[in-house]
Amino acid sequence: MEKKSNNFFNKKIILILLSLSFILICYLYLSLDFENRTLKWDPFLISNLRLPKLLIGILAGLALSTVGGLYQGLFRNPLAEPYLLGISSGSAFGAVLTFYFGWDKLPVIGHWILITNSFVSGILTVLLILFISNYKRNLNLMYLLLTGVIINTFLFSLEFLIIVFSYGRLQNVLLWLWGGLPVVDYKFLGIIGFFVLAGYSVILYNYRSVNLLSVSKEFMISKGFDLKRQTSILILVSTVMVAGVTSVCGILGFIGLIVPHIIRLIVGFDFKKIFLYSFLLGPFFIIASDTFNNLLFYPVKIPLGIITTLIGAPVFFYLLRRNMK
Amino acid sequence: MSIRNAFKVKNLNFGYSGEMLLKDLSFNISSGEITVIIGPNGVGKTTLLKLLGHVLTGGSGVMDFFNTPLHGIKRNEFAKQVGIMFSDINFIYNYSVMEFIKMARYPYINPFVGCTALDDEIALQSLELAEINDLKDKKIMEISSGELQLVLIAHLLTQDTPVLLLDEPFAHLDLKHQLLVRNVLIKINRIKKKTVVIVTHNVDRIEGLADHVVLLKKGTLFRQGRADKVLTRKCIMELYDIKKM
Repeated sequence: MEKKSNNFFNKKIILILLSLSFILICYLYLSLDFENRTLKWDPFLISNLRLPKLLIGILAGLALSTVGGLYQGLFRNPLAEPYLLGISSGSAFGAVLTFYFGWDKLPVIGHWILITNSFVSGILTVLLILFISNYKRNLNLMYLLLTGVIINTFLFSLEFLIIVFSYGRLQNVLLWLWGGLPVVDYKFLGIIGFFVLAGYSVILYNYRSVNLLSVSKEFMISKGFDLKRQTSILILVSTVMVAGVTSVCGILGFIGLIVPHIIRLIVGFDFKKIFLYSFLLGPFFIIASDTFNNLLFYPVKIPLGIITTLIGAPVFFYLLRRNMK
Repeated sequence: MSIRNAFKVKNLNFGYSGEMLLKDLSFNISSGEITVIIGPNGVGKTTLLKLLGHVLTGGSGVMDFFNTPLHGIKRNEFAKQVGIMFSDINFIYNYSVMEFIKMARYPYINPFVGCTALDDEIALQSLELAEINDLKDKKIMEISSGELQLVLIAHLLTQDTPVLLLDEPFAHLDLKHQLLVRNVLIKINRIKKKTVVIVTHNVDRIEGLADHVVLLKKGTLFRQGRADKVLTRKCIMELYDIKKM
């Protein structure tokens, strides 16, 4: 009994520490002067540069870790991640085409074209995968997952073929592919924010379905949930969330895979808790990574996706090993 | 009081990928009784139970639940009427036993509120009934298969439905716990007037438990009737194709 309360105490302490350090890291992110490595509270810099980056980072972290957790339950696979159903290659397809034709260099609308193309092509790819795997009729999630993997690989190859022919734009394309937190204007942040928060609410509301599905399909049906209805809602909502975030930030690898696992190590396996704590740990992970990125490498711009993977893999491995003992 | 039919099955045919598994089955399951479906391995008992629990759909024929066709009943209402215990669950996420048992309350709870004190109490009562209080905080993938079997039964009791379907409730259990499960089933049938349907190949455990038996052989109905009349030595030997003992 004593051991149990002690354990509970530890978990609470961990969460309080994490929340506090999240606030600290947000403060640092807003006010650090990366050139001189000092703190400087500059309202102009903050409202035009740092705050939009911080907000898009929070939205990206929230969306990726929630959907990562969702797919791990939905597909009954601990290795599932948000890009599983082809959003990564799909969104990248729109972006690569935009770079190939040079549309992103158009004045004023260039940036919007890039985002719109990548958003639409991401969603179209998932719809294509749903269509090819005939999910509506067979409701076979494993088949859907495999179709996603195949289309993902196929599209990435096609994209690299296009990249090879886009002489001189290689760096732009690669930087986009590895992801980062861009400065976007507040109107656009509002749109993405709406998609992400609405989707998050739907997923959190349906936590029962995810818990049941992670046990088995029949188990979920026996508790009175409609398999087709629930999975369709969850897949469509998560697709819009991830496509929204990816069209702005590119592909941020590893976050959607490891954040749900880190949450499990702290609070257990209940998906309701995983979704709730995604609100804290997803954003925390992204903002912390980008802070390190800027502190260590400024003025060189390293794509954030590389940093999240380089930090994420060892941290995850450490936690995994500790948990195995 | 006249006995009402919980389930009425008429001319049921069902198969996977073209091959017929269940052929022209017709039988009734009376409300308030313990019915046991018996048959050799691979005869389609589990499939039949899943069809009754409306987890599997398809096939042809009539399946009524209290005189309403199964497909005409709303799923979330049905889940408050009929609970099913699966014997083929493969866990990949290590829920605590209590977390898993509370999932049985999902048909009743409001997702904005979560489990209430009442739901917690029902879950605790089921744990008590299955005598697994000490497993409450254990992890579901770290308990023995016998303990898991009791957890599955406690889970079903927590769903608190008037009709319970159980797939091989005596599997993985030692003699003591087989008797425990048997007593629990009798208790909820006699005291709480629940309808219980059991699927098993274990003929020994059902003597004195079953009111009504349905014997399946090669996908068809072999015999059905009151347990004490049907379950003779000769009948069982014929059912399992045992020539001589």
